[in-house]
Amino acid sequence: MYGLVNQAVEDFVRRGFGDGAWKSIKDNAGVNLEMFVSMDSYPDDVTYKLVGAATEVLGLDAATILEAFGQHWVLYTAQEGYGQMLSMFGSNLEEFLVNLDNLHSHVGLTFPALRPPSFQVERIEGGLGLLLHYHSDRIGLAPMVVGLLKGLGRRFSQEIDVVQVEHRERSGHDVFRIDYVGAGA
Amino acid sequence: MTAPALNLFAHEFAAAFPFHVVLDDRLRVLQTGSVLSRLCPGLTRGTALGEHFAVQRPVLQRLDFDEVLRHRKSMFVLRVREGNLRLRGEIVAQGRHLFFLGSPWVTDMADVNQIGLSLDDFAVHDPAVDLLFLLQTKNRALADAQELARKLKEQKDNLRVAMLAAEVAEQASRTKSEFLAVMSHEIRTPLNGVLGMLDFLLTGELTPRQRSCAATAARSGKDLLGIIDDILDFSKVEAGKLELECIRFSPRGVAEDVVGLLSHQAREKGLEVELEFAPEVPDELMGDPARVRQVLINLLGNAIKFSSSGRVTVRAVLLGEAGARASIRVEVQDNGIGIDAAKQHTLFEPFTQADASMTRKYRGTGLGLAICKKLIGLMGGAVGVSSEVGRGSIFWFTLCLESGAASAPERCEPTSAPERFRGHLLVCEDDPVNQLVAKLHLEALGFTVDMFDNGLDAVEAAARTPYDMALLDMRLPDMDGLDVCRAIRAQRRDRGRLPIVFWTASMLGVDRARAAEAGADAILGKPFELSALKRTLSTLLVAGETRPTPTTATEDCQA
Repeated sequence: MYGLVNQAVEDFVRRGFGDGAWKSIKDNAGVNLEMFVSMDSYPDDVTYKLVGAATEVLGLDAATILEAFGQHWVLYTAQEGYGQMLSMFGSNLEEFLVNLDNLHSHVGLTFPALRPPSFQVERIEGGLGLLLHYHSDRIGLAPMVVGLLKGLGRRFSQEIDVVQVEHRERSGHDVFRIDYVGAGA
Repeated sequence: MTAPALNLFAHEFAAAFPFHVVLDDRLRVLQTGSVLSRLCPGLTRGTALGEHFAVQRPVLQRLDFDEVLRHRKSMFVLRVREGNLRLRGEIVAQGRHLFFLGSPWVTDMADVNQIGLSLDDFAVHDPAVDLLFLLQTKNRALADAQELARKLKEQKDNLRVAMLAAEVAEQASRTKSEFLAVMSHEIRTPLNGVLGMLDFLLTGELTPRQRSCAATAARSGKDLLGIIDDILDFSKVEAGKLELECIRFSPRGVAEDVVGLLSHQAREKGLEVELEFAPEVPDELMGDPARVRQVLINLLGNAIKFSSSGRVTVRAVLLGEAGARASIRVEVQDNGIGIDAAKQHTLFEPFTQADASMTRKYRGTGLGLAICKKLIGLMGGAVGVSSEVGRGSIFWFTLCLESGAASAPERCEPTSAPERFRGHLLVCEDDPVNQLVAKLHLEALGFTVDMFDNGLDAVEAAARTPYDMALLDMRLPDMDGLDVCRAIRAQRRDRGRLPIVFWTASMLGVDRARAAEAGADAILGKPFELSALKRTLSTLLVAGETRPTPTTATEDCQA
């Protein structure tokens, strides 16, 4: 996982729970680094250990933390200089989600060690919403995608409901149903 | 075989090259890509290229078909005359038509927004978007580097503050040590006068009442000296300035010496003192006998002080041997008042006695046991106590020291020094009272004395006169004792070796290594005990010529 992700985890904990909580999480996870370098690639283990330690220190389950972190990720990347880039990839939620896979392809060229996830959008016939197919070789991050979608909804001022309708254990990949709330019903 | 041709419809070509421009042989616009048309609405068919664009690269002599064609292998950078848009690309010629194929050149995401571009405006094959990602990533990496630099500076600043604080603390500690050294000197100097005069008075004829008064005054003065020594010892250990000797000594000899020293005091209180030494305890150990003696005097002294009847036992057992090292335990058992269990753990803390009322009843600084603990700690051992109120106490300490070599034993034993001497002495001392004390004592012992109050005169006199010994104060008005000693040694290099003794009131700053290096044979503390003075004099005047390390008065051993 690139340092940028771990930086975002740090920012999420510090802002939400304070510097003391971050120090405890880092200590419990056995992470002995002064700071993460955004462009450096760290073993996935570091991120998983941080999340594991966060469940203990914050007293929250991993899914809750990951979903909250997913929402924070959208804010964090926008705030850390990628905001205009995000704007370039869409002016509304649907356009952005359609371009999301492309965005990860471009990022993959910039961060050579990245194992980017893949996203495909499927329109629901006659429905006011979308299905998002999510493929990743990392496991356990589906709750983060839910948070990510909610964060994007907020970014584009589009209230949504997100439900996971398929799981990788059953169908080989995860599928999320996104329903627009209060849109032309 | 010919290469397959790419026959594109105009809209397909426009999608593949959304920023292209097709020019005729007079460089007039024939066709433009859809996105470029949107960005530059004035770029219409038939208008001249130069009207809309400045060619930044390559540098052309003139803007015409042939010149452009001549540079068709170059990278072209076109700048829109109105606005910030720059296009980079290449020129492809087809007959009398020129195709500019390129895309916007952006160096910042802000440019993209300002120009009004979105992802869909770029052809999929166009790496401009990746360039933007790279640029953003570079900015991000720069921010990381700046953050690291900030953290480094912060740490460096913190380190600087910590170092400054350490320096201040060190300076404070130095000031404290210096203060103690000065105070010690200042207190010891008049005390030397008082005790010296009293000792001298006591050797003369006095009425019984006068003798009793003088003896009481002398005892009180010695008590005061003991307190100053305690404080100095404690300060020395605290300041890390205490040097331990490592010489061969007999633990039994030290214990016998201490028992002998305090037996009179014990007898006066009707106490019996017993010495039980297990036969396995090594006859000799390597260590600092003076400090072991000091600890034992303290423990036995306390036992006698706090017992009113019965018996006090000094016991030593061997705990074990490992290689050349032996571990022994020495304990002092009394059947005195005992100590409450709750108070036992604070006994070895400085300025503590089991009970504040004890300070009033038994006196003392409360430093004795703290000093013992520190001394034993420095020697790598431990101290402790087990006690029961009303039944007595056992104070103990352990030592883990190297066994002394089997040959050439040196025993530290009380010395019986001669009462009378003969000889001519040089004494250098600037304080008039100390001068008088020294003169009285030394002359009473049979010496003749030349007294000097400054180093220069003393050095000159030493060059002229064959003295039998020199006694030098460490602090003199013109030069310090070490320099005087060096100067005398330099002069007398070829005339035999003059025994030189330092006497100093400020024992804190005494550096035996430096004194030895300067050429001194011994160090005497002020005020000196008459017996210590006699012992040192007899050692240096009777024994051989060479003596590598000066000894302090309390550590004198006769070889």
